Amino acid sequence: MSSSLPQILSDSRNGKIHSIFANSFNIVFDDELVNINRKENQLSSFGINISGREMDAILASIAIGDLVKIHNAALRIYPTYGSVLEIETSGLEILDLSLRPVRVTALRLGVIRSVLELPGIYEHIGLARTHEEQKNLDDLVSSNPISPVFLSACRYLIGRGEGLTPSGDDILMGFFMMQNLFSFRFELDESMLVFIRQKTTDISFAYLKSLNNGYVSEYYQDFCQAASQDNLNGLKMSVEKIKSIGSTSGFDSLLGMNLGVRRISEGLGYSYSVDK
Amino acid sequence: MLKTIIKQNNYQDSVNLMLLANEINAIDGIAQCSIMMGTDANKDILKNTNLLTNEAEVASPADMVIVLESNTDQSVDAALKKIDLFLSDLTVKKERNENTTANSLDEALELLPDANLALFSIPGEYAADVMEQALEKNLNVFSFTDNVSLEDEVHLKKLAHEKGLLMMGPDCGTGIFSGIPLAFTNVVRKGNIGIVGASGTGIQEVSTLIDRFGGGVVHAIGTGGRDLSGAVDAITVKDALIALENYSPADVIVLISKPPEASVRNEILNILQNLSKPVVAIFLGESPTFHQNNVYLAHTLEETAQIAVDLSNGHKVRNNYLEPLENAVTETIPESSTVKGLYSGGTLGSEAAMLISAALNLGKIIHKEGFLLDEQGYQVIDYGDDKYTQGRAHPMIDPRSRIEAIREFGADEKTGIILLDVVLGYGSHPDMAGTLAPVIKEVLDNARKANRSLRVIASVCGTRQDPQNFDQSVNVLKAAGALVESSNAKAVRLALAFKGISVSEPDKSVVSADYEKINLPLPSEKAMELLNNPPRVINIGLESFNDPIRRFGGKSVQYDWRPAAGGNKKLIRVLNKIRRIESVNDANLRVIERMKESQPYLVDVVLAKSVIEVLNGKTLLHAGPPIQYNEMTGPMQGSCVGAALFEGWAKNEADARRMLEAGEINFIPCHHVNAVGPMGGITSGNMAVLVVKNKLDGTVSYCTMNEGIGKVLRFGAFNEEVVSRLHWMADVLGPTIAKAVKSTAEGINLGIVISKAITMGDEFHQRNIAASLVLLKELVPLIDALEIDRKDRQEVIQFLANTDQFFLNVMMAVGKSIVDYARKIKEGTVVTTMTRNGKDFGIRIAGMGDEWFTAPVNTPHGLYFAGYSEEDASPDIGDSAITETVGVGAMATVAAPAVTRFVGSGGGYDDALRISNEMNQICISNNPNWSIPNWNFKGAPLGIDALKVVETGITPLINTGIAHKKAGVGQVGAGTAHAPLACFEKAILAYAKKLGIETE
Repeated sequence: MSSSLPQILSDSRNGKIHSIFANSFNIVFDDELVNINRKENQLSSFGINISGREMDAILASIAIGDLVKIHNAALRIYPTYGSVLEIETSGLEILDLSLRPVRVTALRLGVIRSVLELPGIYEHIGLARTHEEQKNLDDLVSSNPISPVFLSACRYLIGRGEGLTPSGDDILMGFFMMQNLFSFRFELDESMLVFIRQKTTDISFAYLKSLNNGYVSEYYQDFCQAASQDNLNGLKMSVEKIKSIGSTSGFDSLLGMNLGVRRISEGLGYSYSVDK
Repeated sequence: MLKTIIKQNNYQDSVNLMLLANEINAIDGIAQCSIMMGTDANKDILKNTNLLTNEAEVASPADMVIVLESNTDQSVDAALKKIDLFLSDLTVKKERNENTTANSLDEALELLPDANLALFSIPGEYAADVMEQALEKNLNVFSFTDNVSLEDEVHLKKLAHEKGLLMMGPDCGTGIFSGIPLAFTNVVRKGNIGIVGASGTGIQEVSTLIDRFGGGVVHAIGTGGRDLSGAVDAITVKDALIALENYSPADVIVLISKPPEASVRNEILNILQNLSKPVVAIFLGESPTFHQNNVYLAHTLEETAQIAVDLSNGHKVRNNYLEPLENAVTETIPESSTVKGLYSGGTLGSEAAMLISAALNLGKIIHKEGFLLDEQGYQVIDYGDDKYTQGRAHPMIDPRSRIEAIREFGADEKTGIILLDVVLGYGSHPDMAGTLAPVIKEVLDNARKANRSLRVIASVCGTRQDPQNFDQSVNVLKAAGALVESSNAKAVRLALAFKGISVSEPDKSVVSADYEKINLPLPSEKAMELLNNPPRVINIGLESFNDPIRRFGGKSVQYDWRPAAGGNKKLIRVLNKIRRIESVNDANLRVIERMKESQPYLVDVVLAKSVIEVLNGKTLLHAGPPIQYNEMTGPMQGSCVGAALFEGWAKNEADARRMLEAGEINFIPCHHVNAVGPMGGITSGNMAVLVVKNKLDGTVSYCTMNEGIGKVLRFGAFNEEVVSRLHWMADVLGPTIAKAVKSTAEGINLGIVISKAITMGDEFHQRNIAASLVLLKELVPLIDALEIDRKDRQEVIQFLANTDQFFLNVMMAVGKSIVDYARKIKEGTVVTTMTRNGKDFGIRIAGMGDEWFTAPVNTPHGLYFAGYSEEDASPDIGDSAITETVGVGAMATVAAPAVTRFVGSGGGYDDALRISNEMNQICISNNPNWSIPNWNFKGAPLGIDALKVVETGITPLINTGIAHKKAGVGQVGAGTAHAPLACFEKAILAYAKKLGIETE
């Protein structure tokens, strides 16, 4: 279970089945999503992974809108078909998915840039490589983060593209993650959150919100950890894993991460110290 | 012109028949049509509608009675075609569901061994006993069935409580378990609210409103309307409350009831306050002004749902839940105009009556001939009352009563408002809103044309998941001009608003009150198991009740119930009492064990008089139960003539007949002297008889040898050829076989011969060719080794080789040696003899020893030799039914499908399988020694249980040769005949009396 969840699951609350997929489903409590996935898959930043057998039984019984209650540290599902089901959370291992900032060093930046330089990445992302798109991506890298140009680039990307997590969102997610990793924290303010809420999917919003709260999904956490240890192999391995996410999501986020680290490396517009 | 069609022994449930009657009534030229089972209650209904014809009057409860009133043959023909189509459709549906359809409770439990609930929708007059059986088998009971006596309800509920089971109903219209709808139920979203309700439509209104308010129901446990009466003492309500209290996923408990008796109310309220969970209770008719501790008391069904949803969401309960109406009231209706509530849901009607009565200060609500309110022109009528449902389905299914009422009241100028409910969900009419809409439009148009003020106000009880769809029903009603409110309470308030009355509700707050602290009992494991898992249901009655169960993830099997004992209540009572006596069951098992373990050996062939003392005088043995010469059929008398000639008592036929008519020759049944005889069974002292010994205890039996086919004594022929053959059999055949058999150490093991031959296509009554060959295989080497005349040897072997049915008589002696060993246990209901004398069919059962129980014998149906027909046939005759008694013959038809075609049952393997499967239903077990390969190696049926015969109305089928009714003609065909039911009924009644059971 993600370390972001214990607090959310501590209150007795009513929720609903939000969305159902072939191998996972989401529960919504008020405005908070909880992703339930199979053990063998990546743990989401707002997720719980359960055994395949449990997942099969639940997926066979539930429908969107079914009641889910938090009861004594368990997720109690009142499914459309069959008996009431429970996902016990008290015994689950909690995986720390909080994003811990690391110091910026030239070596570290160099190593990270090297693993994120992925030739031909634009062929794998979900956005068309138009002039407008390129301009907005360039603006992300080069403009002042409080400038209208930067905000405009963000707004351009949010909700852009297909899928549960549109490509533009994934790019931003990777981009912001890298800023946060190196302590250049981009706080999404209330108006931006409202904008994102309106422009994109519930699931994509949940990922961005989770990042804003300081949590990333398991493969990204692996990447961050490898980065903190300057572990080249670890970084390469986590990049490979990230590539496998979704149809283009992994590559989209890797592009965002690449842009993010470029922005930091190029040191545009603000000051920071670099250990030599 | 009245036309009556009786479909004998063709049980269908009443709802199916009413739906069919609806369709027939719609045919042009049919004035009226009634289709119902021939029960006494239904005959009263037919009488009241002047449809009780002479034919209908004598129909049995197991017969379907169709009475059509029409003046044209064409419309009658059209109706009959429709009826046949409808019934064959039902048959097809049943055939498709073969793997989930059972013919008994036991069979249903075999199909669904982990069943935990029996759902009943069978006629109430027969239901109590079947429900008791279900409870005895540890099944919770849900009884949609009504018309069960209060005394039976109390008994059943006490029994259920003792066993830790829930007895829901009788007259429990609605239930939800783990979200699975039972009976007449809506599709309600699952949630953390548990409902206990003594009212079907009350549960429906509250649960559907909960759904539409965003909440959900995990279980809704109906209890039946009388549960909170003083007599029943809320047994089920209490058990259900305790179960829900201990069922963790139910966070909120709702109790719905009409006002209980004061003592019951106080006890229930005290229990509710002792529960750890918040409770919303509505005692319909009461107007609570405060909540008490954890018990939130509601005034309307709508308020009940509103409070429950708030509690289920963890919200604070509001002081007042009164919401604005959805329809605006711009003008009131005239003073003289009143409100007419035309309801299909009883509880919804009661709620309307209560609200109108209270608002207008009209006095108490009533329950009189369908009226719930009838004061000062204000009327609320429950069209589900018995008065309106005689011969018609419930108004939730059949809209006719209300359509008539809408037209009648709509045309009445004193009617200002017609109030309606439309109840959706499984079981209800597929489109009630669409059916009522044109009538609503019609009466509104008529009123408008007459410049009269009339409004139709409706509420729809349903959800968006219901098969009829809530939104669609609402839209259809609105399009027809009806004003639709979202709850019944609101609909009533709108009606009152048109009278200028604004209904208010007092604010209610929670009052801390003293109550007696009690230790709540622990829940029963079985009740908790029912709540913790999706129900596994044995559905007994209306087949369509399976649909929602299966659709929503439950399991069910259909028990294709028919009234036991043809609906004879006296017999049903006796059957149930005998069934509960453990020693009877034990005895039956011991009897069939003896049948199974028997070891019959052919040990000798002797002259009959050497082993049967009475045959040393002028005495003849005959087949069947006792009979005198003058009562015998022609063939049997012919056999007597032949025997008299054979014995030399008479010189010619005339002489013989004179002696016989003068009573100079005595008669005694073969069965009384350890013997059996085929067809007439006539056996005299000098005839050769086979001797079969059951090696287990030395029981010995005798039977004459088979004479072959054509002119033979057993079919009544007595010419010189017949008599000469009998002499040869006594002088040559018998002694030769005797010597051969005796040359072995123990005789010939006939059990092995039977085991082999049954795998080779014999059933040992109509077909014995394989067994005859196997026996010949045993005998020929032995005969060959004998030092006898070569010509005799050749003739004997040739005779045996020519006589395909030689083994029939051997098998009969085997059967006799088995039953005489088994019936030494003089207890139980296993049939130990079946036989016929051409006049009567006689049986004996183990528990009644040697006593015969007889009924007139049937005439066989079958195929006839060229030149003969059924008109030539003699009634069923012979001791050969001993083969069926021990489980072969027609009982094992599946072993010999070829016989099915020969005996005229209509076909091939499928018919054979059907016959044996049916016969198996009246047997206790199967005989593994006589395993039938094409029955998946199941053993032949074993142990016909007279109790099962009477219960199911399935009588043993007997394969038989058909003798010409005139003596001397001989065999004219072969066929089958059913044993008459009456002799089994007599045996059971006599045995019940012996056991001390009151049979009157």
